[in-house]
Amino acid sequence: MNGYWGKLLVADLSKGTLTDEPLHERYARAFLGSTGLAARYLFDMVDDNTDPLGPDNPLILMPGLLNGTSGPSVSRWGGATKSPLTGHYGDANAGAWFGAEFKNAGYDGIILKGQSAKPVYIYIKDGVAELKDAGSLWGKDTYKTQEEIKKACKDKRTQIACIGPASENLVLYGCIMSEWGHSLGRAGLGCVMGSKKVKAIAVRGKLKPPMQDPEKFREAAQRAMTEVKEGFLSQWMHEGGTASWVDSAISYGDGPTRYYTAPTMPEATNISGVTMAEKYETGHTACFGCPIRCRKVLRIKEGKYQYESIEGPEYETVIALGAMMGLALDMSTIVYLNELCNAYGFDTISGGASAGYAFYLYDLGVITDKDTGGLKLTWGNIEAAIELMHLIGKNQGFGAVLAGGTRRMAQRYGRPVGEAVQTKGLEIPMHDPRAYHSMGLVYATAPRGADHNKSDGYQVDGGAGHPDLGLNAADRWGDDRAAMVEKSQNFRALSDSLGICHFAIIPFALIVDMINASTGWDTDMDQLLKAGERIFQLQRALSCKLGITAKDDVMPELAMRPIPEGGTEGHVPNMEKMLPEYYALRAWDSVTGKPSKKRLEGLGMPEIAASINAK
Amino acid sequence: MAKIKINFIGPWSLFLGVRTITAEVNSIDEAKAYVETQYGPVYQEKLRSRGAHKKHSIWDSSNILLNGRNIKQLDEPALKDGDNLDLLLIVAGG
Repeated sequence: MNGYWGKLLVADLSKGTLTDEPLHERYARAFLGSTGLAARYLFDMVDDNTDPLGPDNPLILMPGLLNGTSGPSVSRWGGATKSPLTGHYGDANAGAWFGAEFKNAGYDGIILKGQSAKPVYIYIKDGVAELKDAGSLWGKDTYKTQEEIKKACKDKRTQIACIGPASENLVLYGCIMSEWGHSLGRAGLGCVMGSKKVKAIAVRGKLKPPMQDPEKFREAAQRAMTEVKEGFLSQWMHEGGTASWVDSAISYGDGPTRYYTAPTMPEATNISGVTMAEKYETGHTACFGCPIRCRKVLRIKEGKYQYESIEGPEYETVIALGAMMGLALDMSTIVYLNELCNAYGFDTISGGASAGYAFYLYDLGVITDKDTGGLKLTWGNIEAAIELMHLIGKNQGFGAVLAGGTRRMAQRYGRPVGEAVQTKGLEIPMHDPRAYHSMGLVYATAPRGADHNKSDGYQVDGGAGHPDLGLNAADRWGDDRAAMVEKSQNFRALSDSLGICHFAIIPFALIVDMINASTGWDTDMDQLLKAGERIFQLQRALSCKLGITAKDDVMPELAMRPIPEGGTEGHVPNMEKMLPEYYALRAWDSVTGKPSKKRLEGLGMPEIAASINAK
Repeated sequence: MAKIKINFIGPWSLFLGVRTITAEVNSIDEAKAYVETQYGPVYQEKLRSRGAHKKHSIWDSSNILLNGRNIKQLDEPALKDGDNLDLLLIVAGG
């Protein structure tokens, strides 16, 4: 089976066993890898009775199909589980070096089942897996954990995916972290890992899975490398990193401020990627095999929190931990806040949004000092924000309220659910749907809940288009975006499953060449895009299996109120127009929200159609 | 002739080494020519220094906002003294 090892590692944590299981070849061919393949396995293992934090909920982690190869920027790996935050399908993906090392350690994925009685970690080296005691690691932050495991392995090149105290404490949006702040960030995969008492997975491998035509792969990968190096997006990402989007976000009104009630605050420019580059940058780091090197290494010798060498925060974090709470931060403090979240190991988007919602409720007078334990959550109170991050990480005091996410907060305080800015229980990322109407549709329909990375909405409507997909740049306030969203969602389901970074623009022909040379398949882009659609519809079907219906595909009311001032100029997405058009394209039932039987069967998934009783 | 400010937003300022310039131009077309002539070579050199050799136009790789409004949505936009022309990269991310 070229391109794969043909085996998965299954860890039954209740029994304390590790066993190899053959990879389901038909699943691999249809769902490729990472979040696509993980979702297919997950579909058979959960139902609406599965307790996300119980032993029956599996956590499935898988490398992307191209991980570990010489392809450029193909480091993304992912996982899937039943989300403890949302109660339905959850997935996440990350970059860095873990995915490549995981693949080269000899497995196509790992399924964690059951629950261990005591803390453990799993160590995989060159095809041999061991369960190890993690008693001494429990309670340690994500950096210390990685450091100690590397010391124990006596190998600095061991790659580690681990949880921090937040996931041990069952913060519902706990992350799985690797290296310096790379995370499977969303939907609470770390929390599930914590419920199983698995502190970490450490991998080291010098193996290479069989490849059909290594020479042809090398040629395609080299050409793809040149394309990525030359790419406009690559150049931009290297110079500014994701956080350089802050300045454009201010112009477009894209960065939610004061919990979605104000234009993007101009002070955010003080912590943008441009400011990082101009004043603090000493170098860059890269994910495995990536020529873009978008991550910034900073030296900060001013302000309250000083660092000799530290990686800078990404765009999402800069806004979520800053403008969202109305904080006018300096670089020292945003880096500190980011480091707090990374060390505790929780999602900066859901964490920042939950804190922002608390500030909003405090401003309204819905909650008072009595609720917050004395914290004065007035817009811009930096010290209160820092304390909130500690309390979330510890799942203590008022932090325990925020650790459940915004939907639970709204329920707790008797507020309308549409005041909590989330869809399907997952907090909306830091691209305001009023700045790009397509993002309203993207958030409303993404299988795991609000997800900016499951399409190219703001990319296309931002002016770049997507020539290979036949998507031209359009008006950012256009409401004729259903077809664009559908197409780009399919493409992102594909690229995530292959492990390709969103910032690497690889011509389709070279993606096809790399896959065929690796696997020996005779595929083409039409078939691959079909696989993308299959994966997206599978994930949707799984959401429906776990209780999602058409009524859940809604945008929260607070994020749909016009803001006349600033870059959104009072625009709001017309969901009444976009959603029915999108449903028709997807062949989703207008009541149940399920994909049609015909569509699922046409995509080769009759068993999925039968399982959800699709019509 | 209008005296306007041209603002290179976000990474443009890193590529071009400047955040804001003042230019005297009669029209949007003249502003485009000014930017490409004065800063096109700076941009290409920056790309070359990073091993990239494809040519890119600054203007065509930008969304252009005149006093905050996209010029594509304005009918024959005219320039006057004190106007702000913002150049934002067409790509987004993060």
